Amino acid sequence: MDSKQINKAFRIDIYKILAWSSGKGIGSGSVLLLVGLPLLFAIVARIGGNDGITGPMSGGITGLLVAVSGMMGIMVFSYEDQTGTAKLNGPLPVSRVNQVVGRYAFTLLAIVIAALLQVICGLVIYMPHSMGAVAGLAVTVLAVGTIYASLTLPIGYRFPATKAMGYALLLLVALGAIMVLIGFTMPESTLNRVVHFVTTAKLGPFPWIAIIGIIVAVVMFVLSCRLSMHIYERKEL
Amino acid sequence: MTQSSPTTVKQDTQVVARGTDPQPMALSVTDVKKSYGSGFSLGPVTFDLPMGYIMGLIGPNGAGKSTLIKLILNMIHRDAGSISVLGLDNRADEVKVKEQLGVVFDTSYFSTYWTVKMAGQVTATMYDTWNQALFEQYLDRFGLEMKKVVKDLSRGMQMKLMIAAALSHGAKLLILDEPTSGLDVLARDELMDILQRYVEDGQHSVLFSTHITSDLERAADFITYITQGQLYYTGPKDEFEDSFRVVKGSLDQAAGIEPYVVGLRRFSTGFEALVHREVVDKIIGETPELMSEPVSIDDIIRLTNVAKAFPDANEE
Repeated sequence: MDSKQINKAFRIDIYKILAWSSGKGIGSGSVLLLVGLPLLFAIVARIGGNDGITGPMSGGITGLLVAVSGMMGIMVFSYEDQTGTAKLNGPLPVSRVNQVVGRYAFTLLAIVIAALLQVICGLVIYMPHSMGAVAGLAVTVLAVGTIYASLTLPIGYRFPATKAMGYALLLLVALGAIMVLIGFTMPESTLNRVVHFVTTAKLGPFPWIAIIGIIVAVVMFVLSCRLSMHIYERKEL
Repeated sequence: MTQSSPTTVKQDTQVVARGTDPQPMALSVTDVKKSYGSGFSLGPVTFDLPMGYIMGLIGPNGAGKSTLIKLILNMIHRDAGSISVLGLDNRADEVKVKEQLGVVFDTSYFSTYWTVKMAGQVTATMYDTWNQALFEQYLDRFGLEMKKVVKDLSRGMQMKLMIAAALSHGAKLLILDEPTSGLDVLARDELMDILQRYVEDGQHSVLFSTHITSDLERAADFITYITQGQLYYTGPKDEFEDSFRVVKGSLDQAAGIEPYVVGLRRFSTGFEALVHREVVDKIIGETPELMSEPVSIDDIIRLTNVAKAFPDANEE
């Protein structure tokens, strides 16, 4: 791997998404909406001020940030397909391995930004109480967003962009459905015990559930990157 | 359709060009093959492009020109053979090779959402040797405005933008896939001028595929002709045209020349046949009423892609 080449691939992916999100692409209004919506949810939750509103709003924000940031990598494939920029990867003086690493780095940046946005939203909702929840939700965005991206990016390398986007959305719906199904089928008392355990469990001073979540996400991200390299090395552009 | 026997001219790996010093090769393609599940197969293809020259890659649609260009760029993987670009293996030294290549495809690889300025910024990101001043000179020359969005440019202007970018990072070898499609005659002339000036110093070379053979007549030093996935000819352009003649006559005179025909087209009033130059004297000797004429590149492409004999399907 070559950091200079990775940097080139990373910057070109940023150019692709920046142009797409500009007035010439989906429009800066849509981007503002994408960033503004979680903040709007947070403000509504803060004003509402009770558990009946705060819980669903907070869950909605986390879900939205996980979905958008985790899909950012696969959105680049879709963008390349729409605009013909996939051809640019042919003459690009960056090896295929480094092109893959660049795209993974770009996706990770999107997830980190989403986690920071989650921190801001969490502060709006919970400050000055429940600061543990703010950190916990940010770690959730970081871990689940990374796991979701790990599952979808190889799909982007393997399949044509339209198909890959369809599979990624299907995966998102399936993950959401599983969460909803668990919520509905598990007795409320058990669910509360699980949530309490996940959010408060500590081994000494360490929030070990969060640590395990991050470790799982990192391992999946690395394995996913290796798989994508393997697929892309054999792909005909 | 019957395919006539290919005439393949393989250049020596070192040729004496423009003087007496042996010139290194800008591009060497040796026994390259590529097959697809669809049944199309390319090759084996072998040719050399010496440094300081322009080579035209010609052939009808679906002949394998774009496949060959993608193989050179390692965008698709060859089944056999080797490709050397500027003395480097195009796979083992892929990044070093691509840093020295300028590439133009038949459709724009710049995002339709980018402005001309952004296309320049992206290309500058790609190449460490980017020359912004030179890029701006080409934009001025081609009448391209920085703030224009790519999707608002005509196809011809999009091609010019790619050409400007390809010429602005010190590339040693330009690989252009149908660069003149969509350009008007003035822009095509201008591009050919630019390419000729580009190779003048003997340190730069150009490989370009085209359907517009008048561009080749003007600019190309060498020709590589591929048809139906097979290499038909590679070598100096003038030798390519000189190695054939068109013989014309009435239908009743056609039967006698069939053994010599490379390709033949029949009309209601007569026929025209492509034959190798060395047999022309013999043909005319046997049938003095026949006429022999020099051929154009278009004639060769046209007549090497029709049948040798006189099937009805060949009738116009």
